[in-house]
Amino acid sequence: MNWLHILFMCEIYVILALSANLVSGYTGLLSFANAAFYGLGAYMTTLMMKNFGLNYFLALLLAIVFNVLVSFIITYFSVRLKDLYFTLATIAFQVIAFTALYNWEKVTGGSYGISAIPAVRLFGFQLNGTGQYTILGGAFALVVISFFVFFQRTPFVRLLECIRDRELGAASLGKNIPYCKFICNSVAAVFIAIAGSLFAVYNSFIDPTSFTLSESILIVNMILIGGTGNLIGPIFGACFYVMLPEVTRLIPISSAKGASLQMIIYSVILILVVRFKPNGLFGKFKFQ
Amino acid sequence: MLTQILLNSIISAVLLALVALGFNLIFNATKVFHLAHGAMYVSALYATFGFRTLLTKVVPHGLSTVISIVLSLVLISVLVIVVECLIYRPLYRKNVNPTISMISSLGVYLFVINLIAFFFGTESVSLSNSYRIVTSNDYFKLTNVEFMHLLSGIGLIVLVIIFSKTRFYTHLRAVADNYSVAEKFGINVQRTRFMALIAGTVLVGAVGIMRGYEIALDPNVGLTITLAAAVAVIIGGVNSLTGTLVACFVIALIENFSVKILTAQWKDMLTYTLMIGVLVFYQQGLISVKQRVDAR
Repeated sequence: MNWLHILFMCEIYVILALSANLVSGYTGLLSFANAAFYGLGAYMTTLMMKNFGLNYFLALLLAIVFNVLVSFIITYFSVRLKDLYFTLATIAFQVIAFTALYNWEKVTGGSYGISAIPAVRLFGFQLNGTGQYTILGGAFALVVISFFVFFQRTPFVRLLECIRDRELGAASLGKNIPYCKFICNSVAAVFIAIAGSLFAVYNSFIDPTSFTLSESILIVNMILIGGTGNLIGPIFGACFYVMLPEVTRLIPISSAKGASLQMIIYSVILILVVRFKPNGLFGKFKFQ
Repeated sequence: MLTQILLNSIISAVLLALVALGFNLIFNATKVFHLAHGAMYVSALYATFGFRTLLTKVVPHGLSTVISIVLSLVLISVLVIVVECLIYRPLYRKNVNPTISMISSLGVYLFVINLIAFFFGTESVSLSNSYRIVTSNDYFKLTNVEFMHLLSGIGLIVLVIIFSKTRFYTHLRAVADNYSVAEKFGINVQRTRFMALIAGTVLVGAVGIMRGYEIALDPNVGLTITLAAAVAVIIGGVNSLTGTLVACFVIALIENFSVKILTAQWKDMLTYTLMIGVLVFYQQGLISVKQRVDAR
């Protein structure tokens, strides 16, 4: 059992869950396209680092810009479509992004993925080993968490909550709703790009199967189980998801069965949470 | 060559149409975006496989197949009734919005799929591998499995069309439109929901078993199948069965003819782009029930 690896995965999923929470929890747009942005961030960083020999941080910056540009599509959906139809459009976006990553073999390497991603260089010092990546990831996770701690106190987040609870009311007060949705989607895209780039440089290998619709579903499940609309819920959900395999590993069954068992536990919790405690274990907002 | 593509698209359209019609019935009656539909598809296949393995020792081959198909269809009907009683009905009583019932349906899907994967493993299962070409001429060739698909698929579609002329379908439309008014006019809403769920589930289960005779399937195909059906329902218009049927043929034609130009892997992209286009540009015409703004 490698605790540093678990800690690193926790950091990545905390970033992902918090970003998903910004879109789904605060603004109430249930998006299943998070894994698409995660994948685009990872691939963009990788391609920039491998093909153009850029530094990690420069590549990350470009990936962030790219993700923000792509998130315009999600913003457009969120302005045009409501509830279930928005969710369906994001599912479609997720499938399209996955198909592109999987089949555009010239650029993304298709199902073989991209291997030998260069290591991160920081002031001429090359990161290696799980521990150092955990520190890098921890730094990013801290930045993201402190951003949200700060963000929770701004008036803007109350505006987002207003859009979530009654969009028409917010509009009739003269608030610029497309602009708010644009900000929230772009900020989420920025953070998800960071998570993707961390995942890529840490594994030094990526392939499209890490960025499927199931991954998006998992991210959404994390925030639903933990509870949306605050900070502790998504963080708990992400850590719970990463820790669960370590618990099921104690049961003496094969790893494939263990994975299934994990998902069974997970889905049962999801069903029970939705049925009996719709605002999640720690959430303050009912997801409806 | 052209006729062959046409024939293939008709076969895939018929199979997709059955799943989509079932999805449409369930979506209209219960207003649940029934993602667990795909789980029923996979369960039917695996249940048939399991029952047949158990029964081959006891009864002769042909009979065991028939019995196991019937048993598995009964099993998935019971399963969907259990899901309705334990999950969908309480949520519908609470009057939650479609997103939350979709998520609970997603939970059911994940549960069933992983339960199957837990017991049967994730490797693919096929019901038969006896391919035989029954007709072959200059224009097309047809295998026995494809012939079976075409025949039983069209038969089931005809059944659905007959079904849509019955009084029960009128009740379903009333429930879909406004269930509380329908209840006050003496329609048994709960029975209508049960009937729609069972009808849709039997349709999707039949397709699962039929597909099992053609290719080997693993548990994770369920979500793809449901989403394909959902795309068809949305493109065709949520309210009408005819729209769904037409949309299935359109999708199948696009997918099969696009293979000539692009490689086969890109066809998902075309279908989903089509759905996004429909959602964004024709959304008003496709929402099933126009809701009052304050009803939300």
